[in-house]
Amino acid sequence: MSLIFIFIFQTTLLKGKVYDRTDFTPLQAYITLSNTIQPCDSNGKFNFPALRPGNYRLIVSHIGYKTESLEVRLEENEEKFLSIGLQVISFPLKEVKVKAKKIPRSEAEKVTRKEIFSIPGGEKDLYKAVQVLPGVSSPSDYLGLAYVRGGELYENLTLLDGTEVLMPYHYFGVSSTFNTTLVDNFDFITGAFPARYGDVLSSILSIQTKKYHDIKPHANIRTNLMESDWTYSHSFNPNCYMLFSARRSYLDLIVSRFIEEKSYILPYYLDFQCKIGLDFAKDHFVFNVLSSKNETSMKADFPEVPLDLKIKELGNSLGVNWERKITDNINIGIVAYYTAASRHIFGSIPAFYGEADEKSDKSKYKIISNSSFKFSAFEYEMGLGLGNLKYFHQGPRIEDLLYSDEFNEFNLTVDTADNNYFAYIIQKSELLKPIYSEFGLRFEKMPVTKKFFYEPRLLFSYLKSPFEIYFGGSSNYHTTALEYISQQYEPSCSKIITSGISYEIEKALFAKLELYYKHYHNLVICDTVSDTSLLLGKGFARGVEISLRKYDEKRFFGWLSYAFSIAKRSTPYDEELTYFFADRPHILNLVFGTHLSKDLTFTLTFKWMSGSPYYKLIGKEWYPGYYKGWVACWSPTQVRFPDYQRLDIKFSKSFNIYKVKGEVYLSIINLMNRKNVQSYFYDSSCSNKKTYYMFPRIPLLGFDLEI
Amino acid sequence: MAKLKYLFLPFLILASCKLEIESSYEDADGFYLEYINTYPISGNRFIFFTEDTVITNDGHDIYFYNIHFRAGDIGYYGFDNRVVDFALLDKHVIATLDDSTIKVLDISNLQSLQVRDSLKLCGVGYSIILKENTAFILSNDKIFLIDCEDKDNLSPIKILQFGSELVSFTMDSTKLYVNTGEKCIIFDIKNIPNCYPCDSFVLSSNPCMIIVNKNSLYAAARGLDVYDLINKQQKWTLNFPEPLIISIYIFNKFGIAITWYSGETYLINLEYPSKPAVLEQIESRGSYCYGIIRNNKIYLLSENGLSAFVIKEIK
Repeated sequence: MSLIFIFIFQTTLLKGKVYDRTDFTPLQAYITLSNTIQPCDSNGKFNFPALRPGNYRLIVSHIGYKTESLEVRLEENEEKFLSIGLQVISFPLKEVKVKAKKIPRSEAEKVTRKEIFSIPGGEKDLYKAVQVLPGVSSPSDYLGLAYVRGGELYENLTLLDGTEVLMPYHYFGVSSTFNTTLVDNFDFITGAFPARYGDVLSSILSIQTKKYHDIKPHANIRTNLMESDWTYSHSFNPNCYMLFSARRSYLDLIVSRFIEEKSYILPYYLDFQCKIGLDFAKDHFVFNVLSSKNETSMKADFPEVPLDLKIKELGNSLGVNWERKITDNINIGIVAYYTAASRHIFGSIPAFYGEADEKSDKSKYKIISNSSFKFSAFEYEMGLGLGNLKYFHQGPRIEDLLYSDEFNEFNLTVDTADNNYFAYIIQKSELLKPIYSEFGLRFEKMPVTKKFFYEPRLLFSYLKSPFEIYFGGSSNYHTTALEYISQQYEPSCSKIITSGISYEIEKALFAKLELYYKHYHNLVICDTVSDTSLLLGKGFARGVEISLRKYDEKRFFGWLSYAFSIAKRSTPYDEELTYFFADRPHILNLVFGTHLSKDLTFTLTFKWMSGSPYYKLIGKEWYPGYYKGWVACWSPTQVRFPDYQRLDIKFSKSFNIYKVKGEVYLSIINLMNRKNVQSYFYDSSCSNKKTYYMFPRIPLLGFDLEI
Repeated sequence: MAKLKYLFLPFLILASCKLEIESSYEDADGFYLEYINTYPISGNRFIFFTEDTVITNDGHDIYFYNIHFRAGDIGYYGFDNRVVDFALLDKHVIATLDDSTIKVLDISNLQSLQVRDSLKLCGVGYSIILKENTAFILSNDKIFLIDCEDKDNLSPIKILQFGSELVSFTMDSTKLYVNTGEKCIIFDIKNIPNCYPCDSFVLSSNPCMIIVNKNSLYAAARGLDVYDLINKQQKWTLNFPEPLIISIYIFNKFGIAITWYSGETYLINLEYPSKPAVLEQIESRGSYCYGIIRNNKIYLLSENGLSAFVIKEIK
């Protein structure tokens, strides 16, 4: 009898959908039924199973809408569906006085999740989206590395929900270590940075991951030619959620079936990402973990000694971020993180003059643990932090093996650990309405070098009108190059002056012009031939960036940007500053997206930029010393590779079959099949060259599934 | 139906897909040397008389060869003494002989060659360079300046006396560069009768020959030393397997260097004058003693009995 009773109750069902009455947009409203409160899902749907027959009062509420109260009667075995439209509440507007709590900022480029996913050719990789932003260049199609405004890689800072990530790339830039499915948006700051950021010279990539408050668990499977990932999202209650993802490249699993050499580790990468979030009225807590791994073998036949290496790279980050809102104007927060990157090399390595090192375990690692306390009250923000750094490096830099010949192989031995601490204060104020300023001062004791620095930072904005903002800044920054954390080397320093104007032409359409000048000193310039001397170099980068950006409001979205810049640095071999290898005088980016229909989107990206500088081979010369033979002879001044051009397109079609939502997409990389030169490779006689090109025309097919 | 048009686009693109990510090997600078011909011509130095005719010296004799016909010499003149060096001036050969004389040979008619004038010097002229109508003749510790405008009446203009033996000299449009082995003394020769020493700098490795190209001076020594003529400093040394260069010749962006022992010859890249580099070693059957580049063709003369004149073209 009891079984029958339960069965009857389970068939009594109340479900429905909540929407905006004016435009029928689904609303994630809250449904109160008896003593139960249930949020609607992202499609505005709710579901109350197993109700007893009877009369119920249903209260539907959502911020900004008039609360609706309904009387519902449920009969036995009845399945009732309700369609509830809510009315927007209109308030009479009064004059609002704006206080300078947060100054309007125009330096940062914010890229949304939708834009990251729309950009063709990137396979939804976050760094590929960064590469088409103004002033950013990359050395290769194969890599997601981002050189920002003529800066080096180690001058960029990557933060994942506030946690520094030491290994943001798989395999030197083939792919980012973040699972883009979990990314909500990112801010990319290239100009003057607020004083809360340290250890950076060129750019800050601040990635915010998603929040998840849907009552239903959600799984997402994404796959393409390179990799496959799985994401699971779960909300335990309206205040607590968890996101988890796992990703692996699988090309090695396929290729290994076709090769006989089983001892060879084909390159693969694997990463896990987890986030737990707690959102209360006053407290916000985020715990995130990122773990990534690369593993491969490297085999190559150098003229005398073969290269036979096994490389294993690990990156782990763990961070906790807590913020409490004490009053409307007072907040406190704590950020603590542990981040580590390590690389282990096993095998024989060709050394200078072709003599191999013995079989050994060459490795390096860097570990940073950091904790800071933040207090903000009214127009002031203060922060205190301390951290610890451990750094170990033994053997050659793997980058030299990859990018240089054996003559540039460079051995480095560093084993060090030290504490560092910092403090900063920021004052945001309204100097003279409508001029807003943010003055910051950062004190920092750099690890290992024992040097103490203070970095004044000034940002200002002038709101000529709500649509026209002039902005500028001047700042000092310090950082230590990853490979050269040693007491004998001064931290690298840059001074930046930037100014610009941002203008809102019409709703969601912005034009921006920005000028910048960066001066570097104490740059690490390594003389890889003599193996010993590391010089403290100088350099500068200056340029102007113009952009026009349309945010995705209606049918079109995208941006058009042009950057003109010059970046020069000193080298051990030249008396004067020479063009830095990341220097690209002209960079033009076009990103254009349009919704062809409700479920079909077309996106196009076009990038044109000057070729990067290089010293070309002009012949050979006889090396008369111990090693007798012909060696390459390079031009005394730099020339440039041919211009780079690439046009990518993408069609993406979303679909909904039963309860499975998905998207299938076709990207065509380098549609015009432009032969962009990656590098020239010369044979041992230095008489013949081979040209390596970047991506040819490549069609890519992939799909996403959401369950 | 309108959406169907989008389906055709990917197929069109796939059909024209070219998966090329690397090229095959090609020459480093996109050129190669093509062998043209070899002629049985004897001599140890040569100059072009016309496009087709070269003049060589061999012992006491001056020969004329048409390089487009394998018909041997088309003219010949025998002096009483060995011809040390010679130059061409308005259909006249100005030759220095080892009896310390210079002679003017009229070559307007190859069937009837005749000496127009002769001048006795107080020393053997080892090298001759012509500027306009003036012959600069290097002899031991002197340089004779001889006016050759009147081919029937050679007249000395000036003698530049030095304190030591001279090794070689070269010139450009306004300067004369004299190699004493240890120093390079520069003369201003804008006004030839009133030429004067205007500068000097130290040569590091006793070169046997010097040559000027734009703002660089190349000195043939153990390697090819490069001096910056603005700062008067050595900037670069290009080394060779054979550590002694005896001859260099320059034409536009190319040069050739010939080594002492085996006469190996190298094609030099002079795209960057301050930093020459070897493009490739020119294959040979014998050892070359002299060579020039003219209109992207390399002409090489070998001695030691083989007497071959080889032409290769830079393509």
